[in-house]
Amino acid sequence: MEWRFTDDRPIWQQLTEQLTLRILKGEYPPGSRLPAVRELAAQAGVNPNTMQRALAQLESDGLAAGGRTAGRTVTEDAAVIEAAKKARAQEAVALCLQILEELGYSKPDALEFMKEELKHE
Amino acid sequence: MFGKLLKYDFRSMLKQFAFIWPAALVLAVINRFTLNGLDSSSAVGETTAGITMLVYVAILVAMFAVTMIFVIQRFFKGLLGDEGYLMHTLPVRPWELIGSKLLCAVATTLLSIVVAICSILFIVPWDGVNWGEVFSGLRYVLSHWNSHATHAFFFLLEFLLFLCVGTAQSYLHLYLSMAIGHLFNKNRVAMSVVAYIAINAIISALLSFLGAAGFRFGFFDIINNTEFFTSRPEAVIHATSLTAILSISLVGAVYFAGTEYILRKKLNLE
Amino acid sequence: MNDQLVTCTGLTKRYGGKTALSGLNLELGRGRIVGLLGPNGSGKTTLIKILCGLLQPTEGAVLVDGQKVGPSSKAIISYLPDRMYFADWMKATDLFDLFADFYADFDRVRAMSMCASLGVTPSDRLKSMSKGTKEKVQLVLVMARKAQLYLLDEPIAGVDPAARDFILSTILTNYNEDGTVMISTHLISDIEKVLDEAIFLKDGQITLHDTVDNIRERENKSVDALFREVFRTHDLEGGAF
Repeated sequence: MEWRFTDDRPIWQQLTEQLTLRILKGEYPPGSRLPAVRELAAQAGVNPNTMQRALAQLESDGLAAGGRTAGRTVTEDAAVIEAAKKARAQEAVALCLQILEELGYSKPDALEFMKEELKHE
Repeated sequence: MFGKLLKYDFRSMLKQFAFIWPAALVLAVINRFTLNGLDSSSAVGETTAGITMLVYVAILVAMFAVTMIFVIQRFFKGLLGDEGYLMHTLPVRPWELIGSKLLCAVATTLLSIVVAICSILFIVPWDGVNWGEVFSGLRYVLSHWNSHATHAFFFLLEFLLFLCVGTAQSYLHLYLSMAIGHLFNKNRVAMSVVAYIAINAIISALLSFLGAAGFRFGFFDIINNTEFFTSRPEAVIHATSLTAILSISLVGAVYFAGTEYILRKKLNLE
Repeated sequence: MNDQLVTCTGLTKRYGGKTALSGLNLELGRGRIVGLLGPNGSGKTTLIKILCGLLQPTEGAVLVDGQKVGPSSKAIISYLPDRMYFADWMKATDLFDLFADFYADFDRVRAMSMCASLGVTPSDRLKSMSKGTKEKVQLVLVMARKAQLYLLDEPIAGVDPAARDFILSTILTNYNEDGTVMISTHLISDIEKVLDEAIFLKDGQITLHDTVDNIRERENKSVDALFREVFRTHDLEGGAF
């Protein structure tokens, strides 16, 4: 998974999101140790202070724990991860529904449309 | 830090002269043998001798040319060129940079002179020398060491000191000229040459003015009329040489101070 | 140790009939990466040279780690100029010896390992190296020091995009975290992700000095976009037309 940044928002926020996504996808499995701040920052090509801030956010979101110096570990709390996954999925669906509504699909039509698409997968 | 600067300046000097000094000595030794060819009066012998002598002289000339070029280049490129970006950001003071270059320049010159003298000694035919006479002569001088000998010894020292200080002063003259040239944004080389000539003119004028003033105010008459001096001819020579050494040192010190000021306050590398 | 790593007050530099810096005030803290951003001729190199002691200010004061510019400030500053500054006859290892001699904070082991990862043979003579390799050697020399202040003057200008990432990643993995890195450039989009703070320099004055995060939150655009707006330049890759 590539690190991708847009121009309009602070980088640390985008880093938090992308780190979260990696955890939810299982790229950083529960209980595993995250790479050191410096290494992560070099991988992503960002300032270590920025990465530090993103990781701090990750900690307060409950997805990781551990001190700055010791290196952080991904949480093993399955409930937290599930909750985060659900929140992420909800965001995705809400966005999708919003776009369909803007395109003019009514709610029943939107549901039909989704069912069709899933059949073709 | 100064010692470290010296180390690197000496190292770069050795790199430059590692070829030419041995070459001069080797050529001298070769000449020692080929010169014998002149006696045999064969065409080959004479031609070879001629060629090797030519090469030897060429090397000696080259040696002093290279010394001069080396001194100028090390200052111009090393402190005022791109290398200056490295030198002036080292944790040293400008006087240390100048001092190190100067010391290395004077040492190089003295070593070149030593090499030249040694090479001449190699060429000289020593078989004609009566070593017995030489040694008995030396023994005589050492056992009959008198005040004249002491004076002679000190004259020698004064001469060597004069040589060192004189060399240092000429190089400082070059350094100051290059530093003044550096003050200009364009035509730095041309302005350096102008500065060199200008400094020369100013110092010559100053010296002749002092000389004339000396006559006017009877300074030299003091020497001619004071009993202390008239009865001791050696004292006059000592006084003269020490005065010369002192005044050259003073001039050199002024050059150094000027160069140091420019490098410390007016540096503008590009 | 002083509060602020660098303090400039009323810094003015006039030379050759023009004013390069005009009453500049700057405070730089420690442990951050700062971008000195401005178009060509805005005074970036002049400011850096003054901090290094290569130029004397016409007016104003500069303090580095609480002291005036001199040998003690030079000992804690690691400077990467925009040109090659060493004698060709040396080998890279000779330069390491020189740096080890003059700078107590030079880490020879790190320098050798950086050479290995950058693909440089340190025992080669500089004369025989390509321009790109020589630039790498210079970068190694600068980054292998555990300095308090790194001053990098246009480290990525005139370098192809692949090498740029390389250079930035080398900087990120090697700099002293207690120190501050100041990178001057006009190619902002490449380095923005790496910066903590950005300084805009225009006609010898600082028009903006803020964290990148603040700028993005406030302006809702990248620092690069803001820069283009403020300076109304159309900055093509490589700079001048």
